[in-house]
Amino acid sequence: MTQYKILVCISLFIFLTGCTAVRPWERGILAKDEMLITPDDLQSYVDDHIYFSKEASTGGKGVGGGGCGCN
Amino acid sequence: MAATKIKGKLALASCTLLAPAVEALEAIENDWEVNGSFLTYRENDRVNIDKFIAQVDGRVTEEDSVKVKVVLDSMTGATPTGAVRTSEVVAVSGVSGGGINVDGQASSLANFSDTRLAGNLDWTRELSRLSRLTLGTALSVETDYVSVGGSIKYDRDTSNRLRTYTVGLSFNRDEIDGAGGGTPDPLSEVTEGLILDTGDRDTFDIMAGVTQIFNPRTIGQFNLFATYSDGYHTDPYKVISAANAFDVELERYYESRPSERMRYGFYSKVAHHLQNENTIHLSYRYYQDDWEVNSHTVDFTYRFNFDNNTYFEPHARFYKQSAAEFYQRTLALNEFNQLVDLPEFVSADYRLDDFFSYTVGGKYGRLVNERTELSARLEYMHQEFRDSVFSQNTAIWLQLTASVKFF
Repeated sequence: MTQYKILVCISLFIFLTGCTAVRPWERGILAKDEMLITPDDLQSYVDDHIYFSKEASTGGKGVGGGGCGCN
Repeated sequence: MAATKIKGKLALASCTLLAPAVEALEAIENDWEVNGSFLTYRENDRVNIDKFIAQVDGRVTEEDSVKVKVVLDSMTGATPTGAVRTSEVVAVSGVSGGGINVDGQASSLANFSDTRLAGNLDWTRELSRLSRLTLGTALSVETDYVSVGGSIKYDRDTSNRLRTYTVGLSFNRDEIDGAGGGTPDPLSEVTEGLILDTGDRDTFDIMAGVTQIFNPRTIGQFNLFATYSDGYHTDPYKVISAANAFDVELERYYESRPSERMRYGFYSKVAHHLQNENTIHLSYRYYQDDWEVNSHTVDFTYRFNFDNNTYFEPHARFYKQSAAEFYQRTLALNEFNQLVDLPEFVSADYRLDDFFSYTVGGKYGRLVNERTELSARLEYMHQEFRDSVFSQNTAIWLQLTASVKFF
């Protein structure tokens, strides 16, 4: 639990302080599909389903999506 | 002549007034994306799955957009039951539903065959220039398993649009029911074939996240998540052998898991566009639950952009988890071949063992025209278990995808 809290605090600190002003006209690269957090929706869906079926861990990217009786 | 001129000017003025509305309508009608995908998944002498996915998303009004996904899975093959690999024959009655057959013979694999149909519908509304609300529904139906769920997600951008805050909630209800009806009595001997009612489980998810633009080439996301589930968590097809040190099996029992599970963790991802025009994606997830499973997941992709139309994307993923507190390979026997202990909760499911897994693969994609992208990817997964009856599992999957944009 302590390890978890430390990792959360470090990550949050980086995310909430580690930015510079980026003007709208400087966001051309960020507008590309490959710069999306999830660039390929169906790839992510398929992989999440496989790992959900083969591992004890799940979650992190969002909410919802439905369960299955996977083998 | 003058009347004609005035008429012409009025017509021009009308067209000018109407033009933005018409353009907006055309933009709405044409802002759609259609995706089709086929996946074939093969394990070494185990599970085989063919999956077909169709997804359509786009705007329906200026404020609303929808995403609809339909999935069809065809599943066949064999899956480990948890029993030891013994030559002893154990007679079985009981659950054989869902297209799965716990044969109780020498094999510790159970053959199965099933079809799964699933669908998702997400509806997103732009509440303001800086905020969006998404409502989602999900349905998944198999012969022996039905899952129904709903979700709500709220996104809020900061005024400079450098950061987006996200909160989400979801609820799922799962019903587990063998084709013969009901689920086996946990911890009962397989030979007794004691069957109980349908298994029900309710699952509640919550997440909160922030997506941040760091600089003109870097964007990242950080999510906290928690899941509470209450109800039937036992796998109706998993058993555990009462066996001696030489894996000679005396009896098989149906497994038993707690009726509650609390999971939480965080997920963090960064995407960065390099000076050489290639892109990297790196993510890390930390996970733990009150079954004492904790895990670390690292995922990395490097995208080589050969030109504006072609790319190749090598990928690697590493995963390490600890065992659930009630995981046992077998139920131990004493020197007189008597059962030492039958705990309240016990499972020999390999997915609850301590294990390490890696996946390596690659994806090739090509824009065949400004609207259409085709891609193919191949992945290889290897799992190495510490204590399970089957110490390894390998899988390979191929996914072919076509995406067409209408704009």
